[in-house]
Amino acid sequence: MATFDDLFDPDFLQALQRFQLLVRQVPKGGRYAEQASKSMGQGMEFRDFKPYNAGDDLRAIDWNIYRRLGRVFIKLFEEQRDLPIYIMPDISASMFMEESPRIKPALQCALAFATVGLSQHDNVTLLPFSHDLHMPVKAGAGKAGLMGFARRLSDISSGSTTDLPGAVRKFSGMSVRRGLLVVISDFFDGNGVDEVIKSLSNCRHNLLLVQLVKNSDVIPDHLGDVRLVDCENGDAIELSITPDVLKKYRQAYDGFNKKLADFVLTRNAQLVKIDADQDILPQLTPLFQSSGESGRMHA
Amino acid sequence: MNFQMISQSGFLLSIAGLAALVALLQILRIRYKSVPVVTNMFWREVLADAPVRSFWQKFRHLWAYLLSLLIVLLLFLAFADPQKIGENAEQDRHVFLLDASAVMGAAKRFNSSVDLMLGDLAGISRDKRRVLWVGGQVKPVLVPGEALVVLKERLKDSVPEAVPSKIEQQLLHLGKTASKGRLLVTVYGDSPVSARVLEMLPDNMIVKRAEERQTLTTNMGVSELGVSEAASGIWGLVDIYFHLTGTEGQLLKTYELNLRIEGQTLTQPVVSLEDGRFLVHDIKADGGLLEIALSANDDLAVDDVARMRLPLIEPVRVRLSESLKDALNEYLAADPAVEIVDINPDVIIRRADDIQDVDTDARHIIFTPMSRQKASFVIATEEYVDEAVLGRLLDALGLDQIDAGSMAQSGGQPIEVRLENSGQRGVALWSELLTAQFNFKKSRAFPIFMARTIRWLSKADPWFAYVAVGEEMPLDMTGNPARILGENGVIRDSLGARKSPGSAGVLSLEQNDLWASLQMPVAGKSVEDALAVRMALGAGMFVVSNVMTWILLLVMGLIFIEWRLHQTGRMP
Repeated sequence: MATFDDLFDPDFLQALQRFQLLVRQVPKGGRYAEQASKSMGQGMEFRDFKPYNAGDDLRAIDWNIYRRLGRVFIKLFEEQRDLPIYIMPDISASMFMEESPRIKPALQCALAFATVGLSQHDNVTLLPFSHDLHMPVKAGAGKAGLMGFARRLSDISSGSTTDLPGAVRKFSGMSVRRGLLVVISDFFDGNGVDEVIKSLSNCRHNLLLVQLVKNSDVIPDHLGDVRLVDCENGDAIELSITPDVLKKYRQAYDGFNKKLADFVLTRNAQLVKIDADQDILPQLTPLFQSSGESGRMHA
Repeated sequence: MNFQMISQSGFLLSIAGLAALVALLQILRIRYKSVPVVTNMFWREVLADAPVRSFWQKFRHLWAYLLSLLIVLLLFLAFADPQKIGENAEQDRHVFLLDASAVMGAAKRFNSSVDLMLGDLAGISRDKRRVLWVGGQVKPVLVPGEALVVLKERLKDSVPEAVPSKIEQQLLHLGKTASKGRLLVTVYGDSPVSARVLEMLPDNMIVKRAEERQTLTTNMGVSELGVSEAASGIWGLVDIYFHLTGTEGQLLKTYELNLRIEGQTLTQPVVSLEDGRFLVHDIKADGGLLEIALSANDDLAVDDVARMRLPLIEPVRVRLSESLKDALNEYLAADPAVEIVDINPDVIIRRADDIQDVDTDARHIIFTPMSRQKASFVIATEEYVDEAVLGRLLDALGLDQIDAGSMAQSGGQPIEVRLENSGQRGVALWSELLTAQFNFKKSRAFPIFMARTIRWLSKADPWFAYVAVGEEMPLDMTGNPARILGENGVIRDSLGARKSPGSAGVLSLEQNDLWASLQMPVAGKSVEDALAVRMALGAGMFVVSNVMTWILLLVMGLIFIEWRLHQTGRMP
């Protein structure tokens, strides 16, 4: 379990300041912020010209073109709006298991996204889930809300089973503005990866899937006659594990990952694998686009 | 292979049984290690390909089963004492020793042992089996080639004998006569066999016990019975000693002890020493039959009674020559063992010149002038006298009490003893020894010399300190040669070798009859027994042979492989 001090590590937060989150398509509406949207308006970034029509803002007329060409054009500017970011960390029992549980890097990831989002004046909402979607917690606007957000994260306790499809459906049913849905999970869902993909496919938000993996997922160290007890639902299966069986396990695990990868390709989403046993910051860095000393992450 | 008492079908059945047993254990060997996992969703997918072994499912790891079975079968073969096939098997000989000693006298013990042996013999070729009855005498009761029914007929109504065990002696005898090929000896009975005896056996002789020894748990018996001259020194009386031993926890007070002589209860007090030992003093040595009996129903009845013929000690009839009466009469009169007579004497004491007594059958003490006899003392014996006998002889005559140096100094002559082999015992000594010249007659040694010499020369009946069945006869207390007679009066120890009474009862000598009784320590748990019991019927013995060693090493190697495979997960 991540404590407040773990999450609110000044060095960690300092490093996050360099990053900037950039989505490919910012939904319409919302308030002015730093996300570049497709909407033309009163932004700072020049986008294009268009012939003047009645009613256009006279302040946008490019008088230089008028002098050269004798025609009236309007300068179009990119309008910057805020991006609703919905962070869904998995807090099921499996995230709290093992010697170095996945929940800590998961919450650090959540905090990272929240930090970057809040630094860009985006709306950040925390939606933990396990067997159900928990009550949404909206972070305070701006960087001032970061500490409260971190405290919320550190207060999270273990849930029971994982029901990501149910949580996504419930979230989709909420009347919230379109934004970026960041799902942070191991994606080990008893409903099966197909059901998870199906629910995510129906989600209207931009998707960023953060998959927390461990080496032990790839190469389990169990051998011989074992009773494998699922830590979430207590279901047990008895197996005689041999190298052949491990090979088949690996095939099943690879199939699971391939389905996730195929989904993000077809859905134009993004999948980020985070090794839960390693420092997450270097793993997050490549996701952000460099911009001077800062980085912008495409989602 | 050394499956001595098992048929081929039995051997195959044993292997099949082991295979079934290992299979059962393999089926039942489901030891799941409970492991919590973050999810078992992937394991469920492989479950169809890797189902857990359940009770009635086929083995998924047949080779693991075969490895286990191979280890078990190798152990089975190793414990069956395998030998090189075909090399010596044809020369193997089987000898079955049926213990018929007193320890087998417990209720039905002997019969159960016989039944076990009969069952074992049925599985062995008749040309290879030989059964010896080991009781008071060792006799074959089944020789190779004879049918089993013959043995049954010979053992019909047979009972163990009241004799100590001869199993050890018989094993040593078999060891000495063992020829080429293996000699496989199986002992049926409870007689212990010490490690010392087993070590003396040759390598090609393999001895085993057919079943666990059944030691006596509730028993007390007479283990020692003996007689000696009375400690009081009174002539004609003896002291009796006996020892009662019992199994652990047995108390003598629960038994009634009866001592009788010729049926009459003994009136003398019984002195109890420690540890079950008793003494009775001053019993008249009149040749009566002494009986010591314990009255109680315990495991073994044969050792509850012991009998012994008391010695017959009568005065020695001595005739003293007139010429010596003045010199010796007072000494002889003071000796209670001497009766001075004129006719039918046992011993005649005379001077060399007193020729009227020369032709009698009596034995003589002759006083001879120094001029006619070189040695001071001349002793005639009936037997060859070696160094050991000489020592006893000097003691018997009291010559060890003589101060020869002083006598030689005072007499001016060396004192010598000379031995002669003769047809009759006799003693000749210088007549001058009776004079003051030699200072012998006045010495303390003289009456001792006279008394002991007269006793040595007397023809008293031989008697023994004890006569126990199965034990070598001790030396005769009178020094007279005692020869044991057989049933038809033939001398059994004609060569003079000391014999052992074969069974309890009357033992005839040339001179008188004795009584031999069982005097055997109780065979309890404390008795040392080093004879291994065979592992199981038909499984042979646990004897490490070269082949067995190699098999065991192979088994250890296989076990290591199995452990390694298990550790690396290649075997469940």
